[in-house]
Amino acid sequence: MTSTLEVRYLTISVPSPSGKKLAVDGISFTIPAGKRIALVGESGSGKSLTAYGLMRLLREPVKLESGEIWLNGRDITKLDQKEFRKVRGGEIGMVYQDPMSALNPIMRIGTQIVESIQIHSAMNKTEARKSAVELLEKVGIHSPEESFNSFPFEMSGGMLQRVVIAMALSGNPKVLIADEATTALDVTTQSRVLHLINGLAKERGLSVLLITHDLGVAAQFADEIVVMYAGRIVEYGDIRNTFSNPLHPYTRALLDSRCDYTMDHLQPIKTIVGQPPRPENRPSGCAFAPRCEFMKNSCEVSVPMLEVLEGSRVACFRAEELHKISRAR
Amino acid sequence: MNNEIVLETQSLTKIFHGARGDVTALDDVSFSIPEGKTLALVGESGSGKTTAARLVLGLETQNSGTVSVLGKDLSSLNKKELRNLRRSIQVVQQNPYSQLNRRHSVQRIVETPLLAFNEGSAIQRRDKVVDLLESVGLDSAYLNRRPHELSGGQCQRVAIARALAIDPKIVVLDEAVSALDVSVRAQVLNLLRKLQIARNLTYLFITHDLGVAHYLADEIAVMFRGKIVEKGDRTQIFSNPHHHYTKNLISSVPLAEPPEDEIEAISVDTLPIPNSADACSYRTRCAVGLAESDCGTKELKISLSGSHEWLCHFPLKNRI
Amino acid sequence: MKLRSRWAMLKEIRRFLPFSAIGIMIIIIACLFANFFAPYDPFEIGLSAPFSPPSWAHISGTDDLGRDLFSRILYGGRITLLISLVATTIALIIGTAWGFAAGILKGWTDEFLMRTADAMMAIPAILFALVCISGLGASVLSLTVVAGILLAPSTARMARSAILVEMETDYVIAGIASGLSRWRLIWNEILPNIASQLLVQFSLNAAAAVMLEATLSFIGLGVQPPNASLGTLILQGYAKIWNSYWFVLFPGALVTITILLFNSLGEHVRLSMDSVKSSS
Repeated sequence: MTSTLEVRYLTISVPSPSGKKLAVDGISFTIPAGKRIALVGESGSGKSLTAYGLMRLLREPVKLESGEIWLNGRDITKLDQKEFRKVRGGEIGMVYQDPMSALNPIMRIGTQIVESIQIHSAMNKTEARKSAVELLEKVGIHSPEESFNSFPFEMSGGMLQRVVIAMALSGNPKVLIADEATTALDVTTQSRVLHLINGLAKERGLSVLLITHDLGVAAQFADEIVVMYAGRIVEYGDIRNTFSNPLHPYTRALLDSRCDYTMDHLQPIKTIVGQPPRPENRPSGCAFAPRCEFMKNSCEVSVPMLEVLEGSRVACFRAEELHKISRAR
Repeated sequence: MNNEIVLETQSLTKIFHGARGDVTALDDVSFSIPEGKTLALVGESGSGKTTAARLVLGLETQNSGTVSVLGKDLSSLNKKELRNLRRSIQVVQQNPYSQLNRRHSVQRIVETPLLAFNEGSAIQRRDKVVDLLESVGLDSAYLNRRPHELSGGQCQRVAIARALAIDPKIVVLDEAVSALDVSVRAQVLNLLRKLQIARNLTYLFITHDLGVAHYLADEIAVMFRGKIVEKGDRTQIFSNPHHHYTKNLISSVPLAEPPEDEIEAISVDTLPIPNSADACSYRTRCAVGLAESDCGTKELKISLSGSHEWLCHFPLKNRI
Repeated sequence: MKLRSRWAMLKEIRRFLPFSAIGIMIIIIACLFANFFAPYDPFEIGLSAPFSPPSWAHISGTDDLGRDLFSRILYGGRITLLISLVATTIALIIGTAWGFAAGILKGWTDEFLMRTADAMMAIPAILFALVCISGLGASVLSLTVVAGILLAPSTARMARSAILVEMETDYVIAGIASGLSRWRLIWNEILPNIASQLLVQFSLNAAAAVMLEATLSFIGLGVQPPNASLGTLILQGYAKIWNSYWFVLFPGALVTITILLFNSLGEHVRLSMDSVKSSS
């Protein structure tokens, strides 16, 4: 399977009172063509910075320290600004959490989509307009002609997000990055928008990077999951396998601390002690060790590397041991 | 256990006058909560749940209907009496940071209700604050910290401690866990439950998250565009929903194993139509509603089955 | 930013204490404590030849009666600054109360108070001051009061918008729900959060007040002899500008620098407020 997007050892630094800290510390993952990857993590995990890093939208003093991003055979970190601008919004489309931040509030949305189309293609205004209307219909907006002439403030959150998706698609991307794209939406709207992204991805063979803190969203809309904690990947594997058989203690604890209506409400929710560390407070050795119920002293000495186990990759010194124990039960 | 009703609303209606016409935020909303129990108001944006919270807290006045806290009708109270009644009903809001005064220390924040009612000497207040912080899992090292030095979860704990400072009977939790990380949310939910049992608190929990409602609530009221469209206990709502919106909500929740019988939700994202003339405001999103003319013309009346009630002409069939 | 130690606190203060603040403090201290800093008695005549240019003995030269100009400037600056600071304080108190009342009471009260403020701001300041002082008689007191009244409406507008914003915030809702009385809410919860906005307003008003005093005294309607302020000094020196430039230059320079520093301080606080807001 050809991989559309391959990230290698991406490292991003942020300033802190005690000097530069690595908010994203050498992460690597691959999005094969047509597959959906969920990037899951909590505060301080670095998942959003990763998204911005992929689009080269980091601003000083936050810096991309090192790493490569291979898109269709070329390393886009090496492109100059001008060439990369064709990629951003073109081959890589991005949808953010707040649709209003992607849209110009005083321009009609139709005009904005046309503008985006014309930047990334050679169409003239008439062709672009026609294409824009088609795109609006494609993303499930009824009466697209009417919506074409609307302003952002006249539309609901769900509609705006669909418009933003339309804009992201207007550049004919190979990869779509959705950074908490549905977090601010109602759950019914979220469901519809995620189904929409799903459908479009299938239809166009798009790769999707779904960045979310919601495990349910990952479970239902992704093929593979990358779990991040304190700037590093702790588990990386197939979604079904990871959910039924989490290998990393953090993944397991995260799954246990979910609260959805299928859980037994009489049981207290199993929680993880403490909270995720900020980049400046990262413990030495395994970042999760202080909160891990399986911690041993050796865990704090060195950082565990990602190793293959049962078809997934996990960064835990005791992963194999714990897996055997849970299998024995 | 006392089953006295501590918080009650009757036919609450609130209309906001905006630039583009009037919006009926709440339409004939009635609910009651017995002491020590939790009622969850579940709804999406525009459902009116936040307005309901504000009315119950006396921060707004309604157009018609009544709010009774501990048996007292809020609209019959003068300013002083209303302020006094606040001893019995407190609030924890959604945003952990903005609900705390960034210029104050944690100690000052938590003792604010005590200061407001001139309770205790400085030493007594400090001791009480230390106790409260302990009951929410924070040690006295936090006394002198400021909100921006704390994490979201810690801020929320401080807000809870503050809410409990004057020993209220009722706590309104307005999306109190929505802004927290998954693992922190679990901690705070456990804490809330523990506190409820220890102090016999009554909770009005406003949320859009069905999972949270399922965990904490004894009774769940589903709201849509200002009306309660369905009300019942856990089993009734989750295993035997009667209103199509309830079913839609439940099946929209993303799960590892999605439920088998997902109702195909209609993709209706048109430009919002304000106050359509349909009798049922959910009609335009309902497969059944669009097919039946009654849903547009016939006035809706509450249907009852024991403690389970719903507002629908063609409710879903019983499953239990 | 974590205030972890005294040192970190000092660093934060340094962010708020730019050169403008240090400069203003130097000027204020020098003038208010003119008795300590003035090299000579400002009233003593015949110290040196009249109209002597700046020299080591007299840094700013001497005036028509041989008095040391530098000492006169310091004492004059004292009066100017006193008027400015007292007027600004009056404006702050009246304006804040005005704006808060409008913001909290809303409705017709708000309309009335704000239209009054608008009306007052529409009248040219000098004209207003002229009329009032002509009526009240020129003196340090009347000048201070008039300046305070003139500066109040703009402060009121700022206070009103500040309190309208704060009333919508979560912590204020929490405060109301905690049972705080209106007064406690304003004093303990809201005021600390708008303190920096008030500081900005104070600085800018102080600059305007200095300007106002200098202008009115220059046209003879401000400070009257035997008192001397920077404005009166400029008036006296103005006649001799071609021969004894120092007489006008130094007082004028002090007026200009003071206004510049006040404005700069106000801008600096406003800018650092904005950056704090956007990073929090």
